[in-house]
Amino acid sequence: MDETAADRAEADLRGILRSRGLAWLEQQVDEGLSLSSGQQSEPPSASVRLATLIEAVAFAFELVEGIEAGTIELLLGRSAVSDELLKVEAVEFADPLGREEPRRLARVSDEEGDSAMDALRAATELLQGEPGIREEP
Amino acid sequence: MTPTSPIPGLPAFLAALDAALGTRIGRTLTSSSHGSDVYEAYLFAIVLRAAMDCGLSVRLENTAGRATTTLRLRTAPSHIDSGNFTHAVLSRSDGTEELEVHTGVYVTGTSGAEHECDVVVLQRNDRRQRRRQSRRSPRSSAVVWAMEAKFYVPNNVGIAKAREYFGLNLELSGNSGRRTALVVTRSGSSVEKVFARHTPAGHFYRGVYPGQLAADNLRAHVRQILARHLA
Repeated sequence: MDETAADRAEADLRGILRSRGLAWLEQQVDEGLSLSSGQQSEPPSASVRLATLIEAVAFAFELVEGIEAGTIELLLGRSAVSDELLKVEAVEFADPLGREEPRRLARVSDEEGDSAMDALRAATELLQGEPGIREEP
Repeated sequence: MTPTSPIPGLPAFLAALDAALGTRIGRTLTSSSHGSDVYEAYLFAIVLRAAMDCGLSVRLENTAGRATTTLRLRTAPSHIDSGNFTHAVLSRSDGTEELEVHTGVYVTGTSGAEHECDVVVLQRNDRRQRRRQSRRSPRSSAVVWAMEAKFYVPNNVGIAKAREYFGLNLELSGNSGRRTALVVTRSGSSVEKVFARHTPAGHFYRGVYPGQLAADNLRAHVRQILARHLA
């Protein structure tokens, strides 16, 4: 794959991230790329930038899925020491200034979410195997 | 999206990403949350489990001091007594010592400036003093331990947060230098170097998320902090 193609692909991916409110993720990746390129004294190629973005996006989803499940497990599990259970019926996130609606953490994973995550994992794996998409050196 | 992408797998990846963003996980990875809200909830839960490991009793309370079973956490910092949010109360069975665990509250540092604490364990008796003195924030002297949490996705960032951390640690810990930790999902190796050079163990935890040894180490560290405080 030539760098122009990687450049276009990167622009597509960044467009999706921005349109779905994930510009912060893009910024974290750019900060990391900028630090790395400073150490290597040359800017990263388009294919490196693309690979880094893909890895970051896929990892963010894995991380959130794991942390949501881990939080529920920690909150609902019985203490091995005292056999005590926390009395937690719901976990909510609310903005103190009321700028957005409160969100609830789902206690169980849902079929739609699970299948979307499976599809994302499979697509990531395929994409990372594409010639020309390469990890940062 | 480009249907005729020069990278054959890209359209499928973008479609899968778009679909995943429409699910429950997409609701956590928002433009305002950045994944941080659920990460703070996870670290809060680690503290509660560590307290239970120490034999402490844990109950949830709302801002008004009433028992609740809904864990309602902040998505942005606020003063400890404002709004309707949940904190945990940790108590010994004989009731001789009580601590509170909060997320996203301001604490007044040694300089008098207020700082946000992502997850903080406080002495509960500060509550009465705070109300008597009409203070909006707990004093740093009431902080038993605090965590600065960062949901980082790339593995080469975080040096700016490390620099900020040292200021926060000074403000909350004074001369003791022992009351805070920076906890991250991922970060660059330079962050670890800074902590290794300037702090003893227990101030920096990298790779803290479910299934990782770092998460177990953090829980063990919180147990130590609580045990030391209660001794």
